[in-house]
Amino acid sequence: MKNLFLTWIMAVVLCFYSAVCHAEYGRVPKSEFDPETIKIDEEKYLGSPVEKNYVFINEKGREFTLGDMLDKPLILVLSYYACDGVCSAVNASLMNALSGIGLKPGRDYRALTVSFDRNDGLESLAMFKKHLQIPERLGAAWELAVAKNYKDMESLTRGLGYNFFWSTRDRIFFHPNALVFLSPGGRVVRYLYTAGMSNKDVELSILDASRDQAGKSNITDLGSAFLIACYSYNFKEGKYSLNYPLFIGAGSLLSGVALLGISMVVMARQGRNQKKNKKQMANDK
Amino acid sequence: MKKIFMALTAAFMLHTASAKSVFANEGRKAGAIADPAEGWSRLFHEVLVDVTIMGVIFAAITIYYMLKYKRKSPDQVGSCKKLSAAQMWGWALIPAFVFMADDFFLAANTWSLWNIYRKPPAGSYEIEVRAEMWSWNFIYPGGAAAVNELRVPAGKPIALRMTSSDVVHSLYLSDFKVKEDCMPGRVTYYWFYPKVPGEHVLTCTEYCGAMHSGMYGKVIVMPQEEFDNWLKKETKA
Amino acid sequence: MSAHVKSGFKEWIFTTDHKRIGILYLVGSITAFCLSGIMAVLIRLELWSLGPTITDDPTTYNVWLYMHGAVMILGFQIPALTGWFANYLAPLQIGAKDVAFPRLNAFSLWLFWAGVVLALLTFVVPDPPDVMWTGYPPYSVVTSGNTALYSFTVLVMGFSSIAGGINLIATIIFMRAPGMAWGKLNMFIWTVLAAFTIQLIFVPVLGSAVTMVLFDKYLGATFFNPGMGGDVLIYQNLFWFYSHPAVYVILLPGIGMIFEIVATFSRNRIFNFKVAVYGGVGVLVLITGEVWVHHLYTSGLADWLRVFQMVTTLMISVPVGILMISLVGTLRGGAIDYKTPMLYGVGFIFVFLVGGLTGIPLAMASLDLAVHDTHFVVAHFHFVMAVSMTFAIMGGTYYLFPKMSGRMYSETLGRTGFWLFLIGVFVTFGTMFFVGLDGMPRRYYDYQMFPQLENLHKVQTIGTMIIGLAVITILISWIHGLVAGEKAPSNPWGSRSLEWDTTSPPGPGNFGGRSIVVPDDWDPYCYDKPGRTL
Ligand code: HEM
Ligand SMILES: [Cu+2]
Ligand SMILES: [Cu+2]
Repeated sequence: MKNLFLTWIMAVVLCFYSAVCHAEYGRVPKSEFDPETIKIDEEKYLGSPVEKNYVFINEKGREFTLGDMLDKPLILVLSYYACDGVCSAVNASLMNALSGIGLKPGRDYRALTVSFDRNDGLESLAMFKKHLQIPERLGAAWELAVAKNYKDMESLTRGLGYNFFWSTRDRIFFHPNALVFLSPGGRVVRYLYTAGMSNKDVELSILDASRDQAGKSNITDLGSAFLIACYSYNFKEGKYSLNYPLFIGAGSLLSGVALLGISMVVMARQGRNQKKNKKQMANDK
Repeated sequence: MKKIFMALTAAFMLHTASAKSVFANEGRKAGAIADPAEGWSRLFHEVLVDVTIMGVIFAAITIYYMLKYKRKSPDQVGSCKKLSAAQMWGWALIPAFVFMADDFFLAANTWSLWNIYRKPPAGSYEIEVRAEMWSWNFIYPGGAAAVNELRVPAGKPIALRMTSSDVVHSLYLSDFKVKEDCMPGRVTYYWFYPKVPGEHVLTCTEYCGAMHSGMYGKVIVMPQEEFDNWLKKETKA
Repeated sequence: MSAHVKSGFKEWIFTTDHKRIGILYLVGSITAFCLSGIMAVLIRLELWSLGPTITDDPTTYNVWLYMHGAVMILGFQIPALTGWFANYLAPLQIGAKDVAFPRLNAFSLWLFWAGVVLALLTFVVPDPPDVMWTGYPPYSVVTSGNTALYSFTVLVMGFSSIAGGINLIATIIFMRAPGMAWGKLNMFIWTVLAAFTIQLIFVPVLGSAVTMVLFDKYLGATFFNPGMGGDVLIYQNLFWFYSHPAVYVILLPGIGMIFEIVATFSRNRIFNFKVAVYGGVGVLVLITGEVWVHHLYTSGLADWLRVFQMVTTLMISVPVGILMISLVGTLRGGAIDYKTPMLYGVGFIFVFLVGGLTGIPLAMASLDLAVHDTHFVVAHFHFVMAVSMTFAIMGGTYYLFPKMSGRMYSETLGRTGFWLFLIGVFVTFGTMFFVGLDGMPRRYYDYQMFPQLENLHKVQTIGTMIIGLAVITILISWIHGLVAGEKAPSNPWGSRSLEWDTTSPPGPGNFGGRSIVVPDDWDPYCYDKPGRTL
């Protein structure tokens, strides 16, 4: 038995290996930049708290603190406004996703985009916001802002394990294209990379974030509660996948109930037949 | 029997009523931090008295019957009394209600203690715990790190934020009456309140393989100043 | 046995007779008990002193403990109660000639033996399983131990008991003698029916959980791998979703047997019988699927779930309390004769009392935060399940001994065994509570961090030796009874229940060719009227 399993493992491992080798082959580094350096060490930062007293200023000049936004789950987008490349793409894909899900902005979540570029100011912010064209429905719950104190930005990004740097050659910032989901208590609940992100991933991340530390949730409708139970987060692929064991477990429970039920019915029928036969025999006599 | 039972019920009710206030003086000093370990000891002893009384009464009745109704002649038989409908219902509902009353009483007490356990006070000092086969890594704000020795300042509530990098472990501080599992991919937490400097045992209480029993260490409670110095030294290094 | 019944080796192996199958279950489960009992002795010897005592390899200790836990539950208690007792006694008590599906019965017996052999392979394979009887991933997936053996043992035992369950449920529903209405059944029959209903519904859940572990470990699946979208906690939920009910699969027939013994030796009606059946047994079946989280109070599950199931868990006290009141109420007004089975009967009350009452702090989530997974819990469940049910099994086996073997055992040996057992249990597990309260975690090969507990550990090990002596005495008393016991009359205890209304041992067909017809005023606990034969 042991050997059989060893063979199995070997076979599985071999398949895996050849697949990996195949993928590695022909992968040529495109620039001098190593994507690993800006990868967020999720394991390390999940669950860690953020400071709530950082002050931000929105395009109208209104000052508010991070804590002010944290009465609901908060989607934090770290971005910079002078770019017309990826950053607005991050914001745009968040915008698309939020438009496509049923959760209500303001009631179920808030969003906040802040810039980590020290050169950004209210001007570039206003330009950027105009460019982005957030629909009205989302607008009320989504602030775009810059830090009042750039120092705050440094410690915020450090606290989130969010690394970025300016590439003088490419004249852009290298940074993770990730959304950060904060719980109402101000803890990091989820990083979601926007590449390949689906609406469902965003929805589930918000639901995940709406549970506070003690697992208390402000989700009140059963549908969402059910949804969140059915999925679990896949760190490797960066998205949510079905929680298969749950379904298998539930299915086997049902099969147990069915086993009992069906055998009862079958036995009852047999019992009745037997009784009939006996009566028949008695009558024949 | 009925009389005994009535007396039992009455005694129990009285006991319950007098115990009602295990946590009534919770808010004694506004702003004072309730220590979960103290709450634990109080509630545990309360329950211990409770179950001991129940157990002794029950055992005493049993022994009394055991001795009283010994068979005296080989063909003696029991009285084989049948219960009337009223007796039957009485013997079903009264115990059920007494037990349920006790259950709800206990549950209410547990609930208030639970809330203390599960809500780290504002201003707790938070330390990250990363468990691995088979050691405990403690990471302090600022980046200082320690292995198997959890140094904490005295007089401050300490919150622990825990994960594991491999299998399930569980960090148990027996003197502080608290534990919680550490799992890969999930974050768990709890807090405790070390008041005076001293040393305590910390152990792993979720089976994690060969060195499960070797995965122990110390909680070292230090005076604040000493702790600050230590932390400064470690952070630099 | 009557002369025309052959009893050679072949007849036993190919038997489909429910009594012989029951006896083969007895032999298998007692073998399992002795083996895992030896494991318990080794465990206790290792804990005799600080540091390595009889082995310096922690993994060896872990394998012993795996064997002890898994085999005690899967190989000893479940088969003894639902295999041996239910098979032997249930058809007799309902006046049936055999079970509904005799060949299915033989099949489940041999599956059980296959399970025992699988469990024994632990001693043979190079990397024996070291995952404890709970087999939590990710450890059970990353370990170099042979988790497959664990999974297969669970699966085979599970299949065996599903087959047995269908069989006995069918038997009880459809094979009752004419006139044996539902209201005339023995307590034991009700508990068996309840136990098998639970077993049929919940076993598939455990089966799926251990199968998924198998897939994860050997086929690269990621059901429980959190890095790849799996969920660590779901296994623990599935496992306890079955394994708490499993405790009742063990507990119910055991309590049923204790009721039979207490009623017979008190010559008394079971106190408040109907309430015990509906309010005790029935409510336990209803409640059993809603309390599993009390095993996961410290697992980081959502708080509301933990608190909610704390309330349901505390509610268990209602049906259990009702059953205990019925049990003690049966003593009242009785004519008690303290033969060996009855000693186990009343011994059970005290052991179960200690176990039940220490369960109350464990049920309270906040208190459990400190004592969960310590020796306090180990002591609790040995009292409430392990030992109390071993008392039921020993008592029941003494009770049925004359019926099954046609011979009497020696009372002196039987009583000596009981007293040794009782003393040993209180010495061992009574002490264990204190060790647990002082913080000693369970599944610990060593306790360097608690040197002050060494003396208490020594006391426990001495207690275990006393239990070992008790078990040896019990085995001797049985062998002595089989070989040299007096011939047993058909009804040595003067019981009014139907199983005693036949020869000892009963021949094929159970009632010597009589077709049992149960009269209208039948009551298996009727001692105020003269006994009768049907
Ligand atoms: C007869 C004498 C027995 C002794 C001396 C004994 C002793 C022990 C000890 C010391 C442990 C804990 C070891 C540790 O955590 O390191 C243990 C665990 C256990 N025992 Fe027993 N036991 C006995 C009988 C039984 C019986 C009859 C059962 C039947 C159900 C049983 C079931 C278990 C289980 C399920 C565990 C938990 C194993 C685990 O942690 O995975 N024991 N036993
Ligand atoms: Cu461990
Ligand atoms: Cu349970």
